[in-house]
Amino acid sequence: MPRERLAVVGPSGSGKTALLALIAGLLRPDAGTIVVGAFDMRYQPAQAKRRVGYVPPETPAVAPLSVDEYVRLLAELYGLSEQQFAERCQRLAWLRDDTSPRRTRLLGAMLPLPSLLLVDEPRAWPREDLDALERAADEVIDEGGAFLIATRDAAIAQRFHARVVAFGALSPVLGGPA
Amino acid sequence: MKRRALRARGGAATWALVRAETTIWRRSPDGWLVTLLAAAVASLSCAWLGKLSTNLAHLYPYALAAAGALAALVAAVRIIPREGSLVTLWLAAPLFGRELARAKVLAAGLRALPVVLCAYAATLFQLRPGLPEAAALLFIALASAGICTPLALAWDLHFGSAWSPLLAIPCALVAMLLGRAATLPSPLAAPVAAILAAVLLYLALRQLSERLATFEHHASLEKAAQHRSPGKPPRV
Repeated sequence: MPRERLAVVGPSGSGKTALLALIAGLLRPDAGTIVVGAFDMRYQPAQAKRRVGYVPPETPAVAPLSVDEYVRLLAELYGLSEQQFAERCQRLAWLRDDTSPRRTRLLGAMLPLPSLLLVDEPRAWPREDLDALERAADEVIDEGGAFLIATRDAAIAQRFHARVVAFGALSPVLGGPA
Repeated sequence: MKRRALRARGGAATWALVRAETTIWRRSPDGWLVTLLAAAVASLSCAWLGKLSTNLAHLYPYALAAAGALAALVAAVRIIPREGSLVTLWLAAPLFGRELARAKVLAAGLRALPVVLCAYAATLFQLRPGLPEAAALLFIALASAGICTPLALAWDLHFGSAWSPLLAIPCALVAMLLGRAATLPSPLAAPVAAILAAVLLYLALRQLSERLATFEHHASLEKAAQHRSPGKPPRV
């Protein structure tokens, strides 16, 4: 689904996070296949994961690591050279905000210039962080990639102009009769 | 060439993870507290055994090895809640199970080292052995900790922290095996012990790699976090 914005919308427990974890390669599917950029997540996980940027659900802080340490760690895990790392840092400088753990996570997810950006539940993100996420999504789309968010809030999906895939009992979430 | 490049990349990723885990540990007061506590318990246990009659002196290697096992246990139990969702990101990064396994074992081993060395020092102080015996004791302690660490990590991934006290059973068995082999009055004892340690280490590492490669780590983390504090999100 190149250049596609997709939102998985559904109530808690409907399987949104599990779906994103499957696509990110954190969980192994019992059946079926997940293919990212022609690489099967089951048989070529490293190649497939190299093309995925994943922002996990809301968490209070990054870790006892500084932003520099965290970003450098991810660069090493993604196998970026020093030159590539410097270029990416320069290119993504607009995204950096040391006071926001969400922005730091997003920066880490954008570091490999993913062809698929996965974001799990940005509902509670402040407006500035959502703006940054929107710009990051635009960059991924412009490069021919795809953007996928999972959220309970249909308004978030609308904000990102994403095509909605409904999970579970959706009527209360989408404002219909409960 | 391709294989060499892959291996170099795997090595770099492993060391990046070890550095990050060690940094997290270094900046965590509770992590240091647990290490100090484990070191104190291990040292006192070894020193207490030294007060027993000389007929029980053969217990020293096992006490020392048990201290190593305890260190491995502590390392295994403390590392997973501390990493929290950072582990989720690492698992989402393009790594192989074996790279993660190597990093986990090396980082846990670094954390366990002070405990093993404290127990070793306490034993040397009480036993005052000659150089060959001191070397044999060090071999037993380090080999036990080296084997027990991946075993403990794999166990913890499979069963969760609630079952961690039972880790003492496989750890004690490893220590007994090594202690017996290393203290046998035979010229073959040393090579047998070394081979035994290598085989056990290989099997333990393989077990840990397989567990990590099946990505059950994430699921067990979530489960453990929910078990510890229902309703709260996993700690970062």
